[in-house]
Amino acid sequence: MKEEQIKKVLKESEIRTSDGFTDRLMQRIEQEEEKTAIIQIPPLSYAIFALAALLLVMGIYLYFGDVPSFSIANIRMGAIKTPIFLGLSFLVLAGMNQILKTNRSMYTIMKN
Amino acid sequence: MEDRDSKDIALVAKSMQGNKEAFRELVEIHKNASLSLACSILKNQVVAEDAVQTAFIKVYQKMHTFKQRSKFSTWLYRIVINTSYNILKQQKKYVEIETGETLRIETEGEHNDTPLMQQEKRKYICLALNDLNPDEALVLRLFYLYEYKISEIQKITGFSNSKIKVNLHRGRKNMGDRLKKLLGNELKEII
Repeated sequence: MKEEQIKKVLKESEIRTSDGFTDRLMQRIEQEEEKTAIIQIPPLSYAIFALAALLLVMGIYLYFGDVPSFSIANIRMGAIKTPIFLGLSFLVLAGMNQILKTNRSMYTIMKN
Repeated sequence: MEDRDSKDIALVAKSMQGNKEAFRELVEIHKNASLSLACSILKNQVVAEDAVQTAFIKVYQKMHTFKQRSKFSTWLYRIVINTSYNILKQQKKYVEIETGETLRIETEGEHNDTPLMQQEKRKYICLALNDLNPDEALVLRLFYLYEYKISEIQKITGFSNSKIKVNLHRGRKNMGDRLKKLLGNELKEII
């Protein structure tokens, strides 16, 4: 086929979008904007993560570190450092769990 | 073409300020060309429409990064093409295009043919195009349908100069062969 013939033939090859294409697109854009608003939440998960990390460091320091013995309200801290360490570990794990849950829900929102 | 470019620039400026009606107008202007390019790669109108929608969403979200060093259409079509190739990679196989009711071809321009003949003609042209390799179909549409120069096709597709020329040459030949095979002697009536 000659170039002019191909050109003539290809001029017929534009495909039209289906009805309502633009409306559906604009709806999707609005949904994306709503998702973006929800995704603004991450600073909260960062705060939880930072707090959990701080508690973990404190717990490790309190448990393994060379902390001088002291008392609060007649309770010697040296005696209860194990429960404190376990409590802090629980808080860290709860914080991590919260972050994972937030990430998972964000992923689900983005997927839909 | 220049009128369209200046209109695009005005609409892009408004869209950047959050004017959704301006963006809607941009979509209306470019949706059929974007879909035709995506169809060249994906060979399926439903999948291609989804790719074009995804590309337009990216464009809307990244509008502020458009520096106007190139035409808006060049930037948009590049995003459409990249999105389509990514989807194609995910699919790992070509899906046959749906013909008939789901495939509607632009009817702009003057035609003396009866509607039925016109419809048949377009059907065969699209069947032939869909038999081509995605790169060939894409380059043929950009060059002949949208009349882009080779330098612009380079910017849109990222293909080298020689790859574009090879694809144009092979595409022309393969398109002719496919049409001959599909239509036989009736090919003369189409051209």
